[in-house]
Amino acid sequence: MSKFLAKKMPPKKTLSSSSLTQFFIAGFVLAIAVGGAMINFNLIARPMQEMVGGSSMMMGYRVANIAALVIILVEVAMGLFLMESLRITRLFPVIGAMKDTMRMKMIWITFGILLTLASVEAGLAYMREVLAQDDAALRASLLNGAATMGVSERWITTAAQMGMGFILPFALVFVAIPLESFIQASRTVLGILAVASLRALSFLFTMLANMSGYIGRMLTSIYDLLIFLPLWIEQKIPQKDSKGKKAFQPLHTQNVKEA
Amino acid sequence: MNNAMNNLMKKMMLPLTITLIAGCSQDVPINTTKGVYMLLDTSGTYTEELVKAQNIINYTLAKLNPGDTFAVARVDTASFSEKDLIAKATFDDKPSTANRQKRQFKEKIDTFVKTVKPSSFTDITGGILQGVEFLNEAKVGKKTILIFSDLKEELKKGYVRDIALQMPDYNVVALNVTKLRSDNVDPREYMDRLQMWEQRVEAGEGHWRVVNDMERLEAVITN
Repeated sequence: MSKFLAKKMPPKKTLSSSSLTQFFIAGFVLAIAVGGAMINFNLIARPMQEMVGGSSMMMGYRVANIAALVIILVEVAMGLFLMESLRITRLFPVIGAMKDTMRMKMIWITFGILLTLASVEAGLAYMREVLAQDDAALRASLLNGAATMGVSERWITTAAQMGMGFILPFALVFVAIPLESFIQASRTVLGILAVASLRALSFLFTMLANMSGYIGRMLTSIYDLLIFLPLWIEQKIPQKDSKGKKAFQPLHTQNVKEA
Repeated sequence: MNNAMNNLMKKMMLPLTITLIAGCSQDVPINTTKGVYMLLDTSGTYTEELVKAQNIINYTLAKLNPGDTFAVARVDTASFSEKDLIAKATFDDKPSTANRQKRQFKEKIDTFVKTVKPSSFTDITGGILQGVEFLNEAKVGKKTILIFSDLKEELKKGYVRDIALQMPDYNVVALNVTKLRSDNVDPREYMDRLQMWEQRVEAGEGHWRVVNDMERLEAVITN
């Protein structure tokens, strides 16, 4: 089958099709990772208000939200460095070319930072649950009796949130693999898109050129159609001057006669 | 030459970074905080309505966010005074501390409602002037004065309250404006009373509104 395809498809097309496949698969996995990052963000944005304040703003955004986003981005960056140090990805040649001892140090350092951040996130997730319970209790006391969850069931949501807060940073480490494929495939995809847009542009201009040409010819024909009658009448009416002699004839009719 | 350039670049990096970070924070921060000052009429039989006011206060507490300011004051014979403040709070940036403040606020109001004694006169203008002063000092973004009263002002002899109100961009909301017995005899009295307050507030560049249906209160507090 592959031989048949190789015969049928030129190498350029085969490469483009492979890159497109890679692009879409990597894009799909990245979209899943973005979803995970958003859940992670929601887990830690609320408790972050306890650390950096709930009403301070920067560039129109809450500082607590910015802080939560920065933590997630640092986790993604650490994940990239860890994958690079493990030589699973090849995004930074400098890291790949390091001595093994240095690479090992880097692996442990990045893993240590990730572990710390994951623990911080688990702590924040716990705090989120505590804050949510406090909010619910306050609302219930203020607005007279909205039902709150029983104490026995609370540990389930607390444990689930803490578990997610701890696992998601490590899950985000693996974003490095689809990210590398995505970046590599996007070169070809961008090329294909550039070619397609240039072709579309050339088609548009050709169409405009043809339209202009035909419109020009059509306007000439319409002019001929309109000018025919006045010219014909002009030719038919003998023109005389005040002394009764034949007056000057239009140049084009003289030329016709001479011819 | 290269080393000199490198050193120069390194020296410039720190001030540049600081300038960049400082540039990110806004020079004129937009004040999104809310300030609510609530006046409780404690004259005569209107004290019986205070349970409703308690619910409104609790509702307002539930809707306010960290950084917002809330104060409740009573309207009595002479209301242009800090002594009439029952409870006040600017809620902390930290949600947990803000929740604690809200609980303490609620406790103060509950105690007040239980122990309140009716006052002989009703100085609403003094209460509004005190509220304007309080909210101006609190430097909040959106200022609201809630007046829980029948809007019938009764001043003690000698008290001057014929003062023009200065309240640009203030939202003044009259809540639970109950109809008096005399209003039932001649409804024009009620309408004239409302119109008089509306004119006074709007002459001071404030926005006037009457909310008798408490279900419409959400729009007042949250907007």
